[in-house]
Amino acid sequence: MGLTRRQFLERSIEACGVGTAALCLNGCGGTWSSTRGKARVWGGPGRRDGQFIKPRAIAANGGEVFVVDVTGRVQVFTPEGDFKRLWSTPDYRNGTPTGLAFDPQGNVIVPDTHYSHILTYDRSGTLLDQWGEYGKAPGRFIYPTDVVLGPDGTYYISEYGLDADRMQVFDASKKLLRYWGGTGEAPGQFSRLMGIEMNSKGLLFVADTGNHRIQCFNSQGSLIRVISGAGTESGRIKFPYQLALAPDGTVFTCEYGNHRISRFNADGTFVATLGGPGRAPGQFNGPRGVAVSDDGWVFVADTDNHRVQRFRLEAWS
Amino acid sequence: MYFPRFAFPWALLLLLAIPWSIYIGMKIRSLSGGRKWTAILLRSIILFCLIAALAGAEWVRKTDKLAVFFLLDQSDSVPEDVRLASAQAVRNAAEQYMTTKDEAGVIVFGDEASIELAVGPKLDLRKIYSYVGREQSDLAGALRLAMAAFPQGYKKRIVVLSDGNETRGSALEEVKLARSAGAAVDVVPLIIGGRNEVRLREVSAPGRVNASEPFRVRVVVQADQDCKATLRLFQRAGGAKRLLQPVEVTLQKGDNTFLLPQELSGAGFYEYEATVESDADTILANNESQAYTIVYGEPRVLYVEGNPEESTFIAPALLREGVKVDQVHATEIPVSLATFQNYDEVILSNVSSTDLSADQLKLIEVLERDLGIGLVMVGGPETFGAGGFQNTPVEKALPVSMDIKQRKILPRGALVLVLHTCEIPDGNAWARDIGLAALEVLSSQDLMGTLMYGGQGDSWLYTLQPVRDKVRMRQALRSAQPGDMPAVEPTLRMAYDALVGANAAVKRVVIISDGDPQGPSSGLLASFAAAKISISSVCIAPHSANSEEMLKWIAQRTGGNYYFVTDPQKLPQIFTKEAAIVKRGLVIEEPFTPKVMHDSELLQGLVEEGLPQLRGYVATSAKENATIPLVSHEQDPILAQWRYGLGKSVAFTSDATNRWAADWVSWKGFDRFWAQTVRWAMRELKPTGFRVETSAKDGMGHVRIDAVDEQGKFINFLKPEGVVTGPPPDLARENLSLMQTAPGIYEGSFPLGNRGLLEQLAIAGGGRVMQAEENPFDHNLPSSATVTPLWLSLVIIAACLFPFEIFVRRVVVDFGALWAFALAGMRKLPGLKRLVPHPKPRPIVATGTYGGVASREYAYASTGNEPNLSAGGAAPPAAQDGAETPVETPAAQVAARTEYTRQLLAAKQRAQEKQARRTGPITDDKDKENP
Repeated sequence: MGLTRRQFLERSIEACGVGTAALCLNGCGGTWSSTRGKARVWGGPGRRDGQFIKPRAIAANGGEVFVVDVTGRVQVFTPEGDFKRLWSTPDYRNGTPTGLAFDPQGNVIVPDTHYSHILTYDRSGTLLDQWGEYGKAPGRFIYPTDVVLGPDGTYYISEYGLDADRMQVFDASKKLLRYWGGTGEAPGQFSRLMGIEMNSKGLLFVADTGNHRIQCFNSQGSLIRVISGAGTESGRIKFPYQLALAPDGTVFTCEYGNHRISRFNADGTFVATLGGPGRAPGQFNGPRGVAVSDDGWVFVADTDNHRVQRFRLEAWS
Repeated sequence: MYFPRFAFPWALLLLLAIPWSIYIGMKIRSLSGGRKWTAILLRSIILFCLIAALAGAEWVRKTDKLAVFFLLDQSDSVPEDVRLASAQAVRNAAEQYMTTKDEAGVIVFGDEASIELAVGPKLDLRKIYSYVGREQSDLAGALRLAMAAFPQGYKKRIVVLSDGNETRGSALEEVKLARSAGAAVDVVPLIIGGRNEVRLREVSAPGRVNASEPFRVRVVVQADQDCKATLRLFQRAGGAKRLLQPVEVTLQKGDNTFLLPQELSGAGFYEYEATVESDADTILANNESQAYTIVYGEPRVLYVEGNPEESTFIAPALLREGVKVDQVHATEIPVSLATFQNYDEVILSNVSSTDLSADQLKLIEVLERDLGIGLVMVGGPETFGAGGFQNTPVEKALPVSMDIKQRKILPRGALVLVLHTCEIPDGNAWARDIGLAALEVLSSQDLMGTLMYGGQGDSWLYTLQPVRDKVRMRQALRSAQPGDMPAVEPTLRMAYDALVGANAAVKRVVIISDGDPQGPSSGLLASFAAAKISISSVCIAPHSANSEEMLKWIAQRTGGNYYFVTDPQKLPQIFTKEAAIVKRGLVIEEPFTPKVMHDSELLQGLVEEGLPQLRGYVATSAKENATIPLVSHEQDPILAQWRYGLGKSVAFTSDATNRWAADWVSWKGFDRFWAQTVRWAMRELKPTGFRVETSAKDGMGHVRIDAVDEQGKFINFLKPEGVVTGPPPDLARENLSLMQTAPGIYEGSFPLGNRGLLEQLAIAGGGRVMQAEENPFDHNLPSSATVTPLWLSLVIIAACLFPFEIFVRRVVVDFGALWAFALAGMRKLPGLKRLVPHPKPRPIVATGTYGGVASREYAYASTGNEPNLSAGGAAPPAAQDGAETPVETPAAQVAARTEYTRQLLAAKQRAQEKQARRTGPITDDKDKENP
């Protein structure tokens, strides 16, 4: 035990206090339980199939869940977390993709963020298309972070870089149609543009990460509203990285800075939040990805815990 | 297996108190048998618990379960088939030897180490999934990881499967740590190749020869069978490798010796490398070997200039004085020990520590200490303390220390570190090292703070504060875990807010990052510039050129330095230098005439006419054994000299350019001063009759000295001492003992290469050198014990039992009355009235009773002869018995009560009479004694 006698006596006195306190407390508290339902957790740190090293983005489509991590692997799981298959992006040494998207045919679109191009894979991982050039000029990319496809096949691509935080829109033949934004704090400007989502009405939700807010535009780039702002209290957000739209039109965002997932209505009103820093199920460590499936499952890329967690949509109500 | 153990067994002597307490307890007459024995039992338990806690009781769980970590070398030096075979060997060992008492895991290592399989009851190693990079071999990292990942309470064994080619870290140190933590380390040397072998056993050349003196290089080739081979000898000098003519030879089974005649004309360090090629060969790694020869010639000096734009005056001055000088820029300093051997002295002029790698810093010290190569450091605003040499090996070799505690007035500096290191391997360790490097430079009047992005967002590791409690700051830095910072703006704003109001002459922020976080606004940088707070940025492992731009821009906008780092080893020096900049008081730019403190051969013939003025210098302090020929107007050393190890070094803290020494460079004594200084520090090479020959043979290095005096006679009974310096980066220093083996011949040997390392690991790790087929699950290790201290639980038990013990002694529970009370209560409940019988009337037996519980007093036998009346309501034993007997009617109750009162009164009366009888005479006696 390595205690001196004096230390022991001191500790004994301390222990009497502790013991008494423990006895007093015993039975006074209730049981700890998550009242919001159970989380299913899978993954864990590693490079084996089904393991992750910092999962960076997550997406759910057609009954499958896609996760990309910093080793550049796109892994495909069942909604239950069973590993199905994987493929790797051409290179990941500069950095990894930060988003995942799907075209109407169900092909997987990967913005290869640190290589300044957009990759399209079929569901089995065969590379179908690769486009985009490095550059600050409109039509080129520095760090493309996320992609959504409009109903007419137009590509909406979010991007950041040195003074080049902007949204760019390309038609189906990859011709630049328009762009907007710019680096800054004013509404309509961005600071590190990360996840984007488009709802059925054609409204574009943009995670303006460095400004701790979500901006909502119409497809032409006119600002409709700004949702939330910096803070740690419920309804405020800190470093929202990715967005996800629920079937009911509500917007989910993962807060890297607050280690939680928040849900907002499309009109910007706050619905609920879940999580907090930690390793227990239902807690997160720097989450950078969130996805919602059509059948109401919410998947979270719990990045710094190297795992994925799944919840029911109702947990945020 | 479980058993208890006591940390202070002598305290168990107190257990003797338990029988005594039982004896005392048995004498209690006032308690009935059951209560008495319950009280005795409880008290004994309480005493036992307290004594056991005092004796430091621990619960020891000994387990015979064995956990084995297999460490598989995945580096390129192990061919793929051997890598696969080693994995197969692990699989086989697990299948063959693993029992239910064993658990095993696998760690693979190369550039880094990774857990392939955590320790578990099954070893399912079908394929290696982890990608660890193959260019390095980080065995030390793998050992560290294994020790961290071992489960608790197991016997621990680490089995290293490697070729022993360690390129990073020190596995030996890790093994020693592992050993002290109770793990055994076994090694399985991976034998690369098959049986049909041609190997180069030995190459030897004389250690030193004179120019144009013929000598022979001896090559021994061992063959397993007769065969033909090609023998090639390469000569390497000053970085150039030259092939001497190849020799076609016929090898016979066994050793074949070849003597290749050589002659060298130019002075310098020559390396000979021999290779042998044969078709009948399988392992190529053992086909080459080296030896070296130094040719005496005129001494040469390596002059290193830190600032190439500044015109240099020393090198031309030395040339005029007939000293051979090679001038290079700081980036061209040699990295190998061999290249330095061409020189007898190194001059560093205005060279910053960041121009040198950590290995080079170490090398320069070793050159002076062990090889006697001189060192002259010439000042300038980028060197000495201002160049971050504090706490470097070079500082050790110099006669001055960069620490300037003795200077009284120094401007105060403020430094804020912003750590975003998580993107590089071992990022947390680097964050710790750079923080510590900067901290070491600062003094108690400087301010320092450290910021990083953690679980709570941007936060201070410790706020900007005077560097007083270095211990606490070090602790904070050691436990720092910087997270991935998404944006630098909030962090820099915190730094700005803290620094803008700080009372300091120099304010600086140093940010280290991969450049990926969102950059700061130009507005914030403008406020930094306006407040004269500069930001230096260190870029490491950027994602793209774009990431670099952001950091470069920050430094440019605020007037800080920008560093692009590819080798993390350089980071601590950058932070040392940056911290030194905060202490700008190091560079003193005032005109003064140096004062002569001591006579010195360096100044011979120069001081008589007076020395010219200097205009600046870098403040240092003199070391204890150094000679300080010149000091400044503030008594700081200007010229210092001393001997260090085998070599000598000189520090000149002013410069030799127009910046500080314009009057010196035009002075007629300038050439002579530098020539004298450089000649004094030069390596002394005295030709002797000793002939030193070095060779490599069978994995051992051999040194042989032929000692012959001038008359050609053997010199016997010498006690030569040798030092072997290993290759960079470790430059391990090992003493070499040389024994006389024949008249005039002294020989010594030392282990070379890698098999040696594995053997050393096995010895240091208390394990064995095994073959792959041997059983790694041997349970020959001492059992591992998990110790749970019990004192807290024991004290809690004692504390809980104590009230019960009092309760049993002091409170009588009348169970009958309780039952009646309960029945009465139940009858009040609707529906139960009929079912529950009416309680029988019960006598109330003692005053002060409540609900059938009576308070009682007990009396010890010692006073039991008299009824004890001290406490209210005490009853004699007879009444006690009566209390237990139910009485039938109310009349009887009254009668009993009257009887009880009467008895009490009678007892009281008797007691008073007794007391009067006893005390009366004593009082009388007392009165008599006091007339």
